[in-house]
Amino acid sequence: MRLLLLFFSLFSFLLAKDTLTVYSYNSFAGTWGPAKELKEEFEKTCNCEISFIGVGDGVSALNRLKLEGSKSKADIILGLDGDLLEVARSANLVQKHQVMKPELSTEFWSEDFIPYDHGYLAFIYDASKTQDKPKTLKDFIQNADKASIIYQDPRTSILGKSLLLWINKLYPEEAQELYKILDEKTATITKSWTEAYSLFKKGESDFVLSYSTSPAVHLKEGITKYQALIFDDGNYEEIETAAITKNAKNLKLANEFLTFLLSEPAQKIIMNKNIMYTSIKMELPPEFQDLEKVKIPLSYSPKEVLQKQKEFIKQWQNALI
Amino acid sequence: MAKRSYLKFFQQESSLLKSSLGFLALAFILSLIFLALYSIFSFSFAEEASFQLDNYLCSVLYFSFYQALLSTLLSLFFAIILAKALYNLDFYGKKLILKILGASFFLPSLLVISGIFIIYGKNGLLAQIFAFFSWNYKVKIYGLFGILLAHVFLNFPFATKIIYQSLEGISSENRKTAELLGWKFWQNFKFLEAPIILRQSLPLFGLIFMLCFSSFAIVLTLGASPKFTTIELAIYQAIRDFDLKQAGILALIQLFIGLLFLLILTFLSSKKNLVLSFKGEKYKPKISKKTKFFSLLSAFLLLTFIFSPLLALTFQAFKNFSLTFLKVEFFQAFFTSLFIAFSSAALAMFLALLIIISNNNLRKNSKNFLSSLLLLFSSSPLALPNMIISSGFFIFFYSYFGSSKFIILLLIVLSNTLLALPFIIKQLAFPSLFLSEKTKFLCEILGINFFSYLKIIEFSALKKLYLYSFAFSFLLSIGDFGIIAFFGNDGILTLPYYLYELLGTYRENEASFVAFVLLLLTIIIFVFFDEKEENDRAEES
Repeated sequence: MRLLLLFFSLFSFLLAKDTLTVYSYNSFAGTWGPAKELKEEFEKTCNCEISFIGVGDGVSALNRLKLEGSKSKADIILGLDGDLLEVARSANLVQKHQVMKPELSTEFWSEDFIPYDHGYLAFIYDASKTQDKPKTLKDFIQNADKASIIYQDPRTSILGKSLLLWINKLYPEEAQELYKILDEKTATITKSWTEAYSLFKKGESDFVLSYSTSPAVHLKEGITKYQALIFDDGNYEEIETAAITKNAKNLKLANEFLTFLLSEPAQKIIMNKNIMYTSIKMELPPEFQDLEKVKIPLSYSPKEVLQKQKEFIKQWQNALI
Repeated sequence: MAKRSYLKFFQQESSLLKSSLGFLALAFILSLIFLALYSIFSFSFAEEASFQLDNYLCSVLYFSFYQALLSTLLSLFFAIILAKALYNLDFYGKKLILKILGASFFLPSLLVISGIFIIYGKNGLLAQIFAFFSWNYKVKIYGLFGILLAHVFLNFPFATKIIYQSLEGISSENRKTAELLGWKFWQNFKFLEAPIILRQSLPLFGLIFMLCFSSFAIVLTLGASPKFTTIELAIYQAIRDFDLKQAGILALIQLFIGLLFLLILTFLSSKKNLVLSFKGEKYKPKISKKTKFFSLLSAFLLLTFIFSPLLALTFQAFKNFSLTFLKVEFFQAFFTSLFIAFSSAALAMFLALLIIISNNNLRKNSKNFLSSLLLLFSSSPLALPNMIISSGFFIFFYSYFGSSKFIILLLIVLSNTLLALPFIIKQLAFPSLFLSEKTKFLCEILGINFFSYLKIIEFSALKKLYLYSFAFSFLLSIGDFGIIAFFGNDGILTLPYYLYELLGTYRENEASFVAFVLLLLTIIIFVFFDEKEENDRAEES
């Protein structure tokens, strides 16, 4: 009897596939995110099972990892950007990868985080309604109509936070004043990108803060009226990254997965679902080629972001109350 | 003789046991709350974070009070007008309308917000009507106005229903006397109705104020600017930044304010006696043509305010319905939501029953202070931010047990249970007490024991009220969009969450379908269960 049990457990052990658990944000892991197709594609080759868990957004995913500590099931954390990389590093949550650096279309590369897609902040507008295009960010903020802009709360959204970084990068002296002007032009400030964009689509505002790639989803449907404002003085760049967690159980598989994320098939899936630029250099589909190119990419390093963001947010908060 | 004293001893024993049941339940509730707070604070001291009561926090405190006060006053004001108008009118379908008024209190906030957008949004129905007459549509739905609109929408119909019921409670004799005295509208209102409305308004004021004070989803969507931030929202932001110390201290501030409020309310409402109002034809005084006209007008306007978003939503759902909406995900979300709502309602009912049994027993033994204490503390979850309860649980379970579907489900059920409990107790405590006092001697004479009492008397006399309370907590849980939004779903999909996901991915048609299902579910459950006014209503007098 005991022998039989032993045999069974051995047998099931041999049959059991390796599993890889990936923490990512909801819209990545959710019903319409890239996770489903990525899973199918990766499982074709690895004889493993991969499970995506959607944990709110990047910040929540990181918080959850912090909370769970060594009990976490996560092998990969996916969806961190900006200062979150630095937070994850300083909390000792991630480790070095062994992925070969491919030919990238973005500057970013590090020994722990790999970039899996990137994009540029841009205000999207309906070109059939608004004709004149402002040349600079300041121009835009100053000349927009009252209650015509929707952007995301810097305290809850990476986009909102990046907007503050963008303003500070370009106009460090005038930031406070610009916030006040922006406030007059604001229709609402939403918690995350999703609400902002759906409100914009419902016609609740003329402009919405999103990515320069957002019009691609409409171009694919044959709608050309939604366009991104590309400014002469630059658009802020956002890079989404993934890393192996400190407590990852299967390092080999984790590294394979990160390598897979940088392969052409995976990049294509991510591009089409996330509507962002690929991080590797590759041929883009027509709807992406038709997009207006960003003139000057702007960014702070993750370390700088971590140092400055609290102060920026406080400044913004005080300008608005 | 010996047998008798034994019996007496046993009765005393069981009386003690009955009294302690509720405290057992209370201990369970309080330990859950303690657990939540403890987890947050224990984690926060491991982190380096500082708490400052700066300008920003002062403005948050101020705004929380300000918007709650305004929302409450407006809700009550409109409720009194509509209740009075409905009282004056008689028309087909009035009963159904009253039921739906009660149901609107439970509409998931996501649903309310989408309904409000359809009507008041920049491209909404009103804007289109304005555009048709080429008027300038200037309604700014974000900010204070939108928050007030949504809060009034959620709370005023419910208040209307309660106030309407108390108007109905005015005895026929009084009405007839008033008519004989030739009282006019104002005299009627001042001497007959106002005192009753006022008495009913105090607990209503408290309830609505508390709900608006700790409002989250609405302030998050319609007011999200530092200008329009409530404490609950500030807590949410603090937890997100993992600034748990700040979150914990804010939670304590809210708890303190909430408890203070509950205490005041308990003090205000404890002096009342209870009488049952009887079923039967009520005498309705005749009203003048002018009064009738104004009643019609105000009822029409206010009912339009309530029903237009709901009808618009329904219309949109039907217009765009497609069979492809009936996906696996939809059914998964549907049944998960039902499961969560059922479990938390059942658990909440069980805990409430224990507390109510104890309360009856304490009152019977004239331990009024203990009874008040029991009721006050079992309402304490109402004072504590839901955010803190859920995130506290979450932190506790995750740091000790790791994550699993089971744990997440358990957390959702527990936090919803705590949320529903104060409402159930408020519903059941007084009628149950009244019943137990009324049947005290009867039970003693007939020697009815505890379980038969529950079966024969309590559950059959208050059957509808129990069903209603169950439906109440069921609906509170089914629309919940707290914890799951916070920490991710681990593959658990509920209807509100699914709705949120759909809205976020531009699937507006599908979203309106899911919103409609939620609406239908709410109304059906409410219409079927809300029968209490027919039979066992206990009126305060």
